[in-house]
Amino acid sequence: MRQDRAASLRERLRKGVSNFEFDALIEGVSNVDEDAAEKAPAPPAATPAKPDLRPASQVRTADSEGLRAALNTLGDRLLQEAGKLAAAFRALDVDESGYHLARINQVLELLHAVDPSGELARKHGTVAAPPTGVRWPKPVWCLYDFAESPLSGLVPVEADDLFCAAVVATAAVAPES
Amino acid sequence: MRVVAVVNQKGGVAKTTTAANLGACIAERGFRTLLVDLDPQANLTVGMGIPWYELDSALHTVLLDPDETPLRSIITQVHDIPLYLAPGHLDLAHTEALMMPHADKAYRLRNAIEDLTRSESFDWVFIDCPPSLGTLTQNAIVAASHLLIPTEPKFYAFAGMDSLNKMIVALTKSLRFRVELLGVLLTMFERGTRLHTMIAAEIRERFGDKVFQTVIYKNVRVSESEVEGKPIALFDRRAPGAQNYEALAEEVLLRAAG
Repeated sequence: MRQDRAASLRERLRKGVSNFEFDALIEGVSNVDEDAAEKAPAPPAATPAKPDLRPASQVRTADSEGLRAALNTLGDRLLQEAGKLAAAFRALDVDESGYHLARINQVLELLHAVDPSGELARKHGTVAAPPTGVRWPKPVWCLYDFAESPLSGLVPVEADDLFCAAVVATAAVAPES
Repeated sequence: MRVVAVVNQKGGVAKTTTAANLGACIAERGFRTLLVDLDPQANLTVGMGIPWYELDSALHTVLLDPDETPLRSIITQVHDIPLYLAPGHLDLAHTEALMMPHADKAYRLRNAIEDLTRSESFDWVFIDCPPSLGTLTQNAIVAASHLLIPTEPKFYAFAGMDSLNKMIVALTKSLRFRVELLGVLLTMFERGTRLHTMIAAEIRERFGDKVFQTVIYKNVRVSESEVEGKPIALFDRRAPGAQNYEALAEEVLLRAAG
């Protein structure tokens, strides 16, 4: 990295960071009534370490019903959020689009964690399961991902690249709810 | 007992790896340690060698019906050290929605841990949070005495911590809790990358001594240990990743003592 480029980058970094606040993190927060906490009865003393927690080999097991239900829930949620994303795109609403794109990303990350190929979803007849030979779309964390994603097909013709970039950037920092 | 929420809404910043390896390193020193897998991806659970999809009760059942499934009933010991796991489950993904109507939805985990400590004692609890700022993460923050924020040395790290800061301020308006920052941990660090060095310096300038001196460097052996279902400290003690987390454990224990 050349010296002038490094200095310029450092300058832009500092300027960008100056827009952010971290006070609550650095100082900590407390809205617990200290007096009330002190007056509250102390919980019973904890007993010494007990050896009777179960070893891993005795953990209860179940069939794949839970997985099927979870995939169905995620498939439903994916469809719902895609519908809301399409509506927000049509309204050219960056914040709303970013919010729903973030929700979709979270669902897709979960789906990729348990069923990256989409095979289980197809086997269980999950709503929105990808067709045979097709994987779940990747989550979108940058403009490049977005261009590659089938979600970009929802963007109306009047939206430009700047709109898409703003949506992706909003999604990257959007809280889940 | 210290309850540490390992939190950052950005995915892929080594939250799970940090919870697993820091927890294991502290447990190896004789401290009774509980790992709580609050992430619906359940990677911490799988990384400890337990297949979440074979469990019929896990953290989601505790949060939804703590009377029927107390936290104690799902905890299992892992790896022959005083390390215990409250396993996660994919069904945590819709637990958030199911908890929504309940007024105490953000206190469920705190209540479960308080109930647990009436019969079990732990020195440390590490909560692996999901990559979001939803109800599950709120549960972790309300239950925690401390936050540990792993972060990549990237510009987006600042935006992420700003969002977390905003969320904590917003939560104080509706919830009663007390939490302080244990530290910011630089992860995924690449040696010789000037941009990483530059951003790390900026993070240290903003957060001062709240940033851990220990830095977690990128190390492929850590990923390999996850495939083996073991923390790196138990898988390959000589690996740089193991040494990073050993150093972090020492620093965390020193901070706790101070």
